[in-house]
Amino acid sequence: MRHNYIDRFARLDTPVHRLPPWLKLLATVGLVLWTVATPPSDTWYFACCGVFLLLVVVAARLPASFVALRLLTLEPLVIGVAILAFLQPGGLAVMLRILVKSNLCLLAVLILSNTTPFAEILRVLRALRVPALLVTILALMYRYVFLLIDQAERMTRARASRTFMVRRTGRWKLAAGIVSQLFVRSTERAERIYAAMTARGWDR
Amino acid sequence: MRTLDVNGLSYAYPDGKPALKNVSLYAEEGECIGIIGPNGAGKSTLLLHMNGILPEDEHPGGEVRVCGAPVTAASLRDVHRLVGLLFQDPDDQLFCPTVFEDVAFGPSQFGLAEEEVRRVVTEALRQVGLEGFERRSPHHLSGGEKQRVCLAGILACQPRILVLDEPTSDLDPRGRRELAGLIRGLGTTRIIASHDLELVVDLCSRVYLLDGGEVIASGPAVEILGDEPLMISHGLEKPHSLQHRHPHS
Repeated sequence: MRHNYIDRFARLDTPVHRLPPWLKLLATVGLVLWTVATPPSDTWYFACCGVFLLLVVVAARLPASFVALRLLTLEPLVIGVAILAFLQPGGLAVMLRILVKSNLCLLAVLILSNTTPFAEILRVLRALRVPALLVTILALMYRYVFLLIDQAERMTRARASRTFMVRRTGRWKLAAGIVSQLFVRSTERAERIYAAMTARGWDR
Repeated sequence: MRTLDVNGLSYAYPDGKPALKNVSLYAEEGECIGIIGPNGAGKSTLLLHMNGILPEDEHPGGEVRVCGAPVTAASLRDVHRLVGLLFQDPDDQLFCPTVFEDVAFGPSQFGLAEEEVRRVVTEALRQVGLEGFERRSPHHLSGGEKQRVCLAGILACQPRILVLDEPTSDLDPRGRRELAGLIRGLGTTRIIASHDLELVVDLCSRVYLLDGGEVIASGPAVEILGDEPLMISHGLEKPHSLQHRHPHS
Protein backbone atom coordinates (compact mmCIF):
# COMPACT_ATOMS: atom_id res chain seq x y z
CA MET A 1 0.00 0.00 0.00
CA ARG A 2 1.31 3.45 -0.89
CA HIS A 3 1.89 5.55 2.15
CA ASN A 4 2.46 9.17 2.69
CA TYR A 5 3.69 8.66 6.22
CA ILE A 6 3.30 11.65 8.44
CA ASP A 7 6.60 10.76 10.12
CA ARG A 8 8.36 9.21 7.16
CA PHE A 9 11.84 10.29 8.24
CA ALA A 10 11.57 9.59 11.96
CA ARG A 11 13.91 6.59 11.74
CA LEU A 12 16.90 8.11 9.93
CA ASP A 13 20.29 8.05 11.60
CA THR A 14 21.72 11.56 11.95
CA PRO A 15 23.13 13.51 14.92
CA VAL A 16 19.69 15.12 15.37
CA HIS A 17 17.94 11.75 15.34
CA ARG A 18 20.42 10.44 17.89
CA LEU A 19 19.72 13.21 20.44
CA PRO A 20 17.80 11.92 23.47
CA PRO A 21 14.03 12.09 22.81
CA TRP A 22 13.28 13.94 26.08
CA LEU A 23 15.69 16.72 25.06
CA LYS A 24 14.01 17.12 21.68
CA LEU A 25 10.51 17.09 23.17
CA LEU A 26 11.32 19.64 25.86
CA ALA A 27 13.24 21.82 23.41
CA THR A 28 10.29 21.82 21.01
CA VAL A 29 7.74 22.64 23.68
CA GLY A 30 10.06 25.33 25.05
CA LEU A 31 10.63 26.84 21.63
CA VAL A 32 6.90 26.91 20.86
CA LEU A 33 6.03 28.58 24.16
CA TRP A 34 8.90 31.08 23.83
CA THR A 35 7.92 31.96 20.27
CA VAL A 36 4.31 32.51 21.26
CA ALA A 37 5.32 34.71 24.20
CA THR A 38 7.95 36.83 22.40
CA PRO A 39 6.74 40.36 21.50
CA PRO A 40 6.45 40.84 17.72
CA SER A 41 8.92 43.73 17.74
CA ASP A 42 11.75 41.30 18.51
CA THR A 43 12.62 40.63 14.86
CA TRP A 44 16.08 39.35 15.75
CA TYR A 45 14.64 36.53 17.81
CA PHE A 46 12.39 35.37 14.98
CA ALA A 47 15.17 35.55 12.43
CA CYS A 48 17.58 33.57 14.64
CA CYS A 49 14.87 31.05 15.44
CA GLY A 50 14.10 30.55 11.76
CA VAL A 51 17.75 30.13 10.81
CA PHE A 52 18.29 27.72 13.72
CA LEU A 53 15.33 25.53 12.69
CA LEU A 54 16.48 25.49 9.06
CA LEU A 55 19.95 24.41 10.21
CA VAL A 56 18.36 21.58 12.18
CA VAL A 57 16.41 20.53 9.08
CA VAL A 58 19.68 20.35 7.15
CA ALA A 59 21.49 18.51 9.95
CA ALA A 60 18.65 15.99 10.20
CA ARG A 61 18.81 15.46 6.42
CA LEU A 62 15.11 16.10 5.98
CA PRO A 63 14.43 16.78 2.27
CA ALA A 64 13.46 20.42 1.76
CA SER A 65 10.63 19.45 -0.59
CA PHE A 66 9.11 17.17 2.07
CA VAL A 67 9.28 19.84 4.77
CA ALA A 68 7.83 22.49 2.45
CA LEU A 69 5.00 20.19 1.37
CA ARG A 70 4.16 19.29 4.95
CA LEU A 71 4.13 22.95 5.98
CA LEU A 72 1.87 23.73 3.04
CA THR A 73 -0.66 21.06 4.01
CA LEU A 74 -0.84 22.61 7.47
CA GLU A 75 -1.04 26.11 6.02
CA PRO A 76 -4.77 26.51 5.19
CA LEU A 77 -5.69 26.92 8.83
CA VAL A 78 -2.91 29.43 9.44
CA ILE A 79 -3.77 31.39 6.30
CA GLY A 80 -7.47 31.36 7.24
CA VAL A 81 -6.70 32.91 10.61
CA ALA A 82 -4.22 35.33 9.01
CA ILE A 83 -6.79 36.55 6.50
CA LEU A 84 -9.31 37.16 9.27
CA ALA A 85 -6.63 39.15 11.13
CA PHE A 86 -5.88 41.18 8.00
CA LEU A 87 -9.47 42.41 7.85
CA GLN A 88 -9.19 44.37 11.09
CA PRO A 89 -7.70 47.88 11.37
CA GLY A 90 -3.90 47.77 11.23
CA GLY A 91 -4.26 44.17 10.11
CA LEU A 92 -1.09 43.83 8.07
CA ALA A 93 1.21 43.73 11.11
CA VAL A 94 -1.03 41.29 12.94
CA MET A 95 -1.21 39.06 9.90
CA LEU A 96 2.56 38.97 9.49
CA ARG A 97 2.97 38.23 13.18
CA ILE A 98 0.55 35.29 12.95
CA LEU A 99 2.19 33.92 9.81
CA VAL A 100 5.70 34.07 11.24
CA LYS A 101 4.90 32.74 14.68
CA SER A 102 2.71 29.86 13.58
CA ASN A 103 5.07 28.77 10.83
CA LEU A 104 7.99 28.69 13.26
CA CYS A 105 5.94 26.60 15.71
CA LEU A 106 4.73 24.24 12.97
CA LEU A 107 8.26 23.82 11.68
CA ALA A 108 9.52 22.97 15.16
CA VAL A 109 6.82 20.31 15.66
CA LEU A 110 7.42 18.96 12.17
CA ILE A 111 11.11 18.54 12.96
CA LEU A 112 10.32 16.80 16.24
CA SER A 113 7.91 14.32 14.65
CA ASN A 114 10.34 13.53 11.85
CA THR A 115 13.43 13.06 14.00
CA THR A 116 11.87 11.08 16.86
CA PRO A 117 9.82 7.87 16.54
CA PHE A 118 6.37 8.44 18.02
CA ALA A 119 6.78 5.54 20.44
CA GLU A 120 9.79 7.37 21.94
CA ILE A 121 7.79 10.57 22.37
CA LEU A 122 5.09 8.57 24.15
CA ARG A 123 7.70 7.03 26.44
CA VAL A 124 8.96 10.49 27.40
CA LEU A 125 5.40 11.70 28.04
CA ARG A 126 4.82 8.70 30.27
CA ALA A 127 8.07 9.37 32.15
CA LEU A 128 7.00 13.00 32.59
CA ARG A 129 3.87 11.73 34.34
CA VAL A 130 1.45 12.92 31.71
CA PRO A 131 -1.89 11.26 32.63
CA ALA A 132 -1.88 7.64 31.44
CA LEU A 133 -5.28 7.96 29.78
CA LEU A 134 -4.04 10.83 27.61
CA VAL A 135 -0.93 8.89 26.57
CA THR A 136 -3.08 5.85 25.73
CA ILE A 137 -5.37 7.97 23.58
CA LEU A 138 -2.37 9.46 21.75
CA ALA A 139 -0.95 5.99 21.21
CA LEU A 140 -4.24 4.69 19.82
CA MET A 141 -4.59 7.72 17.59
CA TYR A 142 -1.14 7.19 16.11
CA ARG A 143 -1.77 3.47 15.67
CA TYR A 144 -5.07 3.83 13.83
CA VAL A 145 -4.54 6.95 11.73
CA PHE A 146 -2.66 4.88 9.14
CA LEU A 147 -5.39 2.29 9.09
CA LEU A 148 -7.93 5.04 8.50
CA ILE A 149 -5.85 6.42 5.62
CA ASP A 150 -5.59 2.92 4.12
CA GLN A 151 -9.30 2.40 4.44
CA ALA A 152 -10.16 5.75 2.89
CA GLU A 153 -7.77 5.00 0.03
CA ARG A 154 -9.29 1.58 -0.61
CA MET A 155 -12.81 2.97 -0.56
CA THR A 156 -11.91 5.85 -2.87
CA ARG A 157 -10.35 3.41 -5.30
CA ALA A 158 -13.33 1.07 -5.16
CA ARG A 159 -15.70 3.96 -5.78
CA ALA A 160 -13.58 5.29 -8.61
CA SER A 161 -13.57 1.92 -10.35
CA ARG A 162 -17.36 1.89 -10.45
CA THR A 163 -17.88 5.56 -11.25
CA PHE A 164 -18.35 6.53 -14.88
CA MET A 165 -20.00 9.88 -15.26
CA VAL A 166 -19.42 12.34 -12.52
CA ARG A 167 -20.59 15.89 -12.30
CA ARG A 168 -19.23 18.11 -9.56
CA THR A 169 -22.23 17.66 -7.26
CA GLY A 170 -21.94 13.90 -7.76
CA ARG A 171 -18.35 13.97 -6.66
CA TRP A 172 -19.23 15.83 -3.48
CA LYS A 173 -21.94 13.29 -2.78
CA LEU A 174 -19.47 10.42 -3.22
CA ALA A 175 -16.97 12.08 -0.89
CA ALA A 176 -19.68 12.59 1.71
CA GLY A 177 -20.62 8.93 1.40
CA ILE A 178 -17.04 7.84 1.99
CA VAL A 179 -16.67 10.10 5.00
CA SER A 180 -19.85 8.78 6.60
CA GLN A 181 -18.84 5.19 5.86
CA LEU A 182 -15.46 5.83 7.47
CA PHE A 183 -17.18 7.24 10.51
CA VAL A 184 -19.45 4.22 10.92
CA ARG A 185 -16.61 1.77 10.37
CA SER A 186 -14.34 3.59 12.81
CA THR A 187 -17.04 3.54 15.47
CA GLU A 188 -17.48 -0.19 14.98
CA ARG A 189 -13.74 -0.75 15.04
CA ALA A 190 -13.46 1.29 18.22
CA GLU A 191 -15.94 -1.09 19.82
CA ARG A 192 -13.95 -4.13 18.71
CA ILE A 193 -10.68 -2.60 19.92
CA TYR A 194 -12.26 -1.92 23.28
CA ALA A 195 -13.39 -5.55 23.45
CA ALA A 196 -9.87 -6.68 22.59
CA MET A 197 -8.42 -4.43 25.31
CA THR A 198 -10.93 -5.71 27.86
CA ALA A 199 -10.13 -9.30 26.89
CA ARG A 200 -6.54 -8.68 27.94
CA GLY A 201 -7.34 -7.16 31.28
CA TRP A 202 -7.93 -3.45 30.55
CA ASP A 203 -9.77 -1.95 33.49
CA ARG A 204 -11.80 1.17 33.07
CA MET B 1 -12.33 -31.81 34.22
CA ARG B 2 -14.32 -29.47 31.98
CA THR B 3 -12.26 -26.29 31.62
CA LEU B 4 -15.07 -24.63 29.72
CA ASP B 5 -18.74 -25.31 30.21
CA VAL B 6 -21.53 -23.39 28.49
CA ASN B 7 -25.03 -24.23 29.71
CA GLY B 8 -28.26 -23.19 27.96
CA LEU B 9 -26.84 -19.84 26.88
CA SER B 10 -29.25 -17.42 25.20
CA TYR B 11 -28.54 -13.89 24.09
CA ALA B 12 -30.31 -11.20 22.10
CA TYR B 13 -28.67 -8.14 20.60
CA PRO B 14 -29.68 -4.74 22.01
CA ASP B 15 -32.09 -4.32 19.06
CA GLY B 16 -33.93 -7.47 20.21
CA LYS B 17 -32.68 -9.79 17.46
CA PRO B 18 -31.92 -13.18 19.02
CA ALA B 19 -28.29 -14.22 18.47
CA LEU B 20 -27.91 -17.33 20.62
CA LYS B 21 -30.67 -19.77 21.56
CA ASN B 22 -30.07 -22.25 24.35
CA VAL B 23 -26.48 -23.06 23.38
CA SER B 24 -24.66 -25.73 25.40
CA LEU B 25 -21.15 -26.95 24.85
CA TYR B 26 -18.11 -27.99 26.81
CA ALA B 27 -14.39 -28.57 26.44
CA GLU B 28 -12.22 -30.90 28.49
CA GLU B 29 -8.77 -29.89 29.67
CA GLY B 30 -6.36 -29.78 26.72
CA GLU B 31 -9.04 -30.50 24.14
CA CYS B 32 -9.27 -28.70 20.80
CA ILE B 33 -12.87 -27.91 19.86
CA GLY B 34 -14.16 -26.55 16.56
CA ILE B 35 -17.18 -24.30 16.14
CA ILE B 36 -18.44 -24.17 12.57
CA GLY B 37 -21.41 -22.57 10.90
CA PRO B 38 -22.36 -20.14 8.13
CA ASN B 39 -21.93 -16.35 8.33
CA GLY B 40 -24.18 -14.87 10.96
CA ALA B 41 -24.64 -18.16 12.81
CA GLY B 42 -23.62 -16.56 16.10
CA LYS B 43 -20.07 -17.94 16.35
CA SER B 44 -18.37 -14.66 17.22
CA THR B 45 -21.13 -13.72 19.67
CA LEU B 46 -20.69 -17.08 21.39
CA LEU B 47 -16.92 -16.57 21.65
CA LEU B 48 -17.38 -13.13 23.23
CA HIS B 49 -19.42 -14.81 25.97
CA MET B 50 -16.56 -17.18 26.76
CA ASN B 51 -14.41 -14.23 27.77
CA GLY B 52 -17.15 -12.37 29.62
CA ILE B 53 -17.21 -9.45 27.18
CA LEU B 54 -20.84 -10.25 26.46
CA PRO B 55 -23.44 -9.99 27.91
CA GLU B 56 -23.17 -6.36 28.99
CA ASP B 57 -26.13 -6.64 31.38
CA GLU B 58 -26.40 -8.79 34.45
CA HIS B 59 -29.21 -11.07 33.29
CA PRO B 60 -27.85 -13.59 30.84
CA GLY B 61 -29.92 -16.58 29.88
CA GLY B 62 -27.90 -19.61 30.92
CA GLU B 63 -24.37 -19.60 32.21
CA VAL B 64 -20.74 -19.94 31.22
CA ARG B 65 -18.33 -21.72 33.54
CA VAL B 66 -14.58 -21.26 33.21
CA CYS B 67 -12.42 -23.74 35.14
CA GLY B 68 -15.46 -24.64 37.22
CA ALA B 69 -16.40 -21.10 38.30
CA PRO B 70 -19.33 -19.20 36.72
CA VAL B 71 -18.55 -16.01 34.82
CA THR B 72 -19.95 -13.09 36.82
CA ALA B 73 -19.15 -9.41 37.08
CA ALA B 74 -17.01 -10.18 40.14
CA SER B 75 -14.97 -12.89 38.42
CA LEU B 76 -14.36 -11.00 35.16
CA ARG B 77 -10.74 -10.18 35.92
CA ASP B 78 -9.90 -13.83 36.48
CA VAL B 79 -11.87 -14.82 33.40
CA HIS B 80 -9.92 -12.37 31.21
CA ARG B 81 -6.76 -13.96 32.49
CA LEU B 82 -7.90 -17.58 32.14
CA VAL B 83 -9.40 -17.17 28.68
CA GLY B 84 -7.30 -15.72 25.85
CA LEU B 85 -9.36 -14.41 22.95
CA LEU B 86 -7.87 -14.02 19.46
CA PHE B 87 -9.95 -11.65 17.36
CA GLN B 88 -10.68 -12.05 13.69
CA ASP B 89 -9.05 -8.83 12.48
CA PRO B 90 -5.48 -8.52 13.81
CA ASP B 91 -5.69 -4.74 13.45
CA ASP B 92 -8.38 -4.64 16.13
CA GLN B 93 -6.09 -6.42 18.52
CA LEU B 94 -2.76 -4.77 17.82
CA PHE B 95 -3.52 -1.39 19.32
CA CYS B 96 -0.07 -0.44 20.66
CA PRO B 97 2.63 1.50 18.80
CA THR B 98 5.21 -1.30 19.00
CA VAL B 99 5.13 -5.09 19.01
CA PHE B 100 6.77 -5.22 22.44
CA GLU B 101 4.18 -2.94 24.04
CA ASP B 102 1.38 -4.91 22.47
CA VAL B 103 2.56 -8.28 23.71
CA ALA B 104 3.29 -6.69 27.10
CA PHE B 105 -0.19 -5.15 27.34
CA GLY B 106 -1.88 -8.16 28.96
CA PRO B 107 0.87 -9.08 31.43
CA SER B 108 1.28 -5.48 32.63
CA GLN B 109 -2.49 -5.14 33.07
CA PHE B 110 -2.36 -8.18 35.31
CA GLY B 111 0.21 -6.47 37.50
CA LEU B 112 3.41 -8.36 36.69
CA ALA B 113 6.71 -6.69 37.60
CA GLU B 114 8.60 -5.03 34.75
CA GLU B 115 11.39 -7.61 34.64
CA GLU B 116 8.86 -10.43 34.62
CA VAL B 117 6.87 -8.74 31.82
CA ARG B 118 10.03 -8.49 29.72
CA ARG B 119 10.76 -12.18 30.26
CA VAL B 120 7.20 -13.26 29.42
CA VAL B 121 7.16 -11.12 26.26
CA THR B 122 10.48 -12.50 25.01
CA GLU B 123 9.26 -16.02 25.67
CA ALA B 124 5.90 -15.43 23.91
CA LEU B 125 7.61 -13.92 20.84
CA ARG B 126 10.02 -16.88 20.74
CA GLN B 127 7.05 -19.25 20.90
CA VAL B 128 5.52 -17.75 17.76
CA GLY B 129 8.89 -17.45 16.02
CA LEU B 130 9.16 -13.66 16.02
CA GLU B 131 12.28 -13.00 18.09
CA GLY B 132 13.73 -9.56 17.48
CA PHE B 133 10.41 -8.00 16.41
CA GLU B 134 10.06 -6.04 19.67
CA ARG B 135 10.69 -2.56 18.24
CA ARG B 136 8.68 -3.02 15.04
CA SER B 137 5.44 -1.14 14.50
CA PRO B 138 2.37 -3.37 13.94
CA HIS B 139 1.39 -1.38 10.86
CA HIS B 140 4.46 -2.53 8.96
CA LEU B 141 4.01 -6.28 9.53
CA SER B 142 2.62 -8.80 7.06
CA GLY B 143 -0.75 -10.39 7.73
CA GLY B 144 0.82 -13.61 9.01
CA GLU B 145 3.20 -11.74 11.29
CA LYS B 146 0.36 -9.62 12.66
CA GLN B 147 -1.68 -12.70 13.48
CA ARG B 148 1.34 -14.27 15.23
CA VAL B 149 1.97 -11.12 17.26
CA CYS B 150 -1.70 -11.26 18.33
CA LEU B 151 -1.22 -14.86 19.40
CA ALA B 152 1.94 -13.89 21.31
CA GLY B 153 -0.01 -11.14 23.08
CA ILE B 154 -2.46 -13.76 24.27
CA LEU B 155 0.10 -16.42 25.15
CA ALA B 156 1.89 -13.80 27.26
CA CYS B 157 -1.19 -13.75 29.52
CA GLN B 158 -0.67 -17.50 30.05
CA PRO B 159 -4.33 -18.46 29.60
CA ARG B 160 -5.83 -21.88 30.38
CA ILE B 161 -8.21 -21.64 27.42
CA LEU B 162 -7.46 -20.20 23.99
CA VAL B 163 -10.44 -18.97 22.00
CA LEU B 164 -9.69 -18.25 18.34
CA ASP B 165 -12.09 -16.41 16.03
CA GLU B 166 -11.35 -17.17 12.35
CA PRO B 167 -7.61 -17.33 12.98
CA THR B 168 -6.68 -18.09 9.35
CA SER B 169 -9.10 -15.88 7.41
CA ASP B 170 -6.49 -13.28 6.45
CA LEU B 171 -3.52 -15.55 5.89
CA ASP B 172 -1.78 -16.92 2.81
CA PRO B 173 -1.14 -20.70 2.69
CA ARG B 174 2.26 -20.41 4.33
CA GLY B 175 0.97 -18.16 7.12
CA ARG B 176 -1.95 -20.52 7.57
CA ARG B 177 0.31 -23.59 7.77
CA GLU B 178 2.60 -21.91 10.28
CA LEU B 179 -0.30 -20.79 12.46
CA ALA B 180 -1.89 -24.25 12.32
CA GLY B 181 1.41 -25.77 13.45
CA LEU B 182 1.63 -23.27 16.29
CA ILE B 183 -1.91 -23.97 17.48
CA ARG B 184 -1.35 -27.71 17.28
CA GLY B 185 1.75 -27.44 19.45
CA LEU B 186 -0.04 -25.67 22.31
CA GLY B 187 -1.14 -27.79 25.22
CA THR B 188 -3.96 -25.59 26.46
CA THR B 189 -7.66 -26.08 25.83
CA ARG B 190 -8.47 -24.53 22.45
CA ILE B 191 -11.74 -23.37 20.91
CA ILE B 192 -11.56 -22.53 17.20
CA ALA B 193 -14.39 -20.90 15.28
CA SER B 194 -13.67 -21.04 11.57
CA HIS B 195 -14.85 -21.39 7.99
CA ASP B 196 -11.51 -22.99 7.25
CA LEU B 197 -12.91 -26.50 7.48
CA GLU B 198 -9.61 -28.17 6.55
CA LEU B 199 -8.07 -26.45 9.57
CA VAL B 200 -10.90 -27.68 11.78
CA VAL B 201 -10.55 -31.28 10.56
CA ASP B 202 -6.83 -31.01 10.99
CA LEU B 203 -6.77 -29.64 14.53
CA CYS B 204 -10.05 -30.36 16.32
CA SER B 205 -11.20 -33.57 17.91
CA ARG B 206 -14.83 -32.52 18.30
CA VAL B 207 -16.94 -29.88 16.57
CA TYR B 208 -20.19 -28.06 17.17
CA LEU B 209 -22.26 -26.96 14.19
CA LEU B 210 -23.99 -23.66 14.86
CA ASP B 211 -26.71 -22.11 12.69
CA GLY B 212 -29.26 -19.43 13.47
CA GLY B 213 -27.86 -19.20 17.01
CA GLU B 214 -28.56 -22.85 17.79
CA VAL B 215 -26.34 -25.91 18.10
CA ILE B 216 -27.52 -28.07 15.19
CA ALA B 217 -25.12 -30.97 15.68
CA SER B 218 -22.06 -31.94 17.65
CA GLY B 219 -19.65 -34.85 17.62
CA PRO B 220 -16.27 -36.02 16.33
CA ALA B 221 -14.93 -33.66 13.67
CA VAL B 222 -14.57 -36.33 10.99
CA GLU B 223 -18.15 -37.51 11.51
CA ILE B 224 -19.85 -34.08 11.42
CA LEU B 225 -17.74 -32.57 8.65
CA GLY B 226 -17.97 -35.80 6.65
CA ASP B 227 -21.78 -35.64 6.62
CA GLU B 228 -22.20 -33.96 3.25
CA PRO B 229 -26.01 -33.36 3.33
CA LEU B 230 -25.72 -31.80 6.79
CA MET B 231 -22.84 -29.56 5.71
CA ILE B 232 -24.55 -28.40 2.51
CA SER B 233 -27.85 -27.65 4.25
CA HIS B 234 -26.07 -25.29 6.63
CA GLY B 235 -24.07 -23.37 4.07
CA LEU B 236 -20.85 -25.36 4.50
CA GLU B 237 -19.20 -28.12 2.53
CA LYS B 238 -17.46 -31.41 3.09
CA PRO B 239 -13.71 -30.73 3.19
CA HIS B 240 -11.64 -32.21 0.36
CA SER B 241 -9.51 -34.18 2.74
CA LEU B 242 -12.61 -36.13 3.80
CA GLN B 243 -13.96 -36.67 0.28
CA HIS B 244 -12.08 -39.90 -0.26
CA ARG B 245 -11.77 -41.15 3.28
CA HIS B 246 -13.69 -44.18 4.45
CA PRO B 247 -15.94 -43.13 7.34
CA HIS B 248 -14.76 -45.98 9.57
CA SER B 249 -11.05 -45.89 8.87
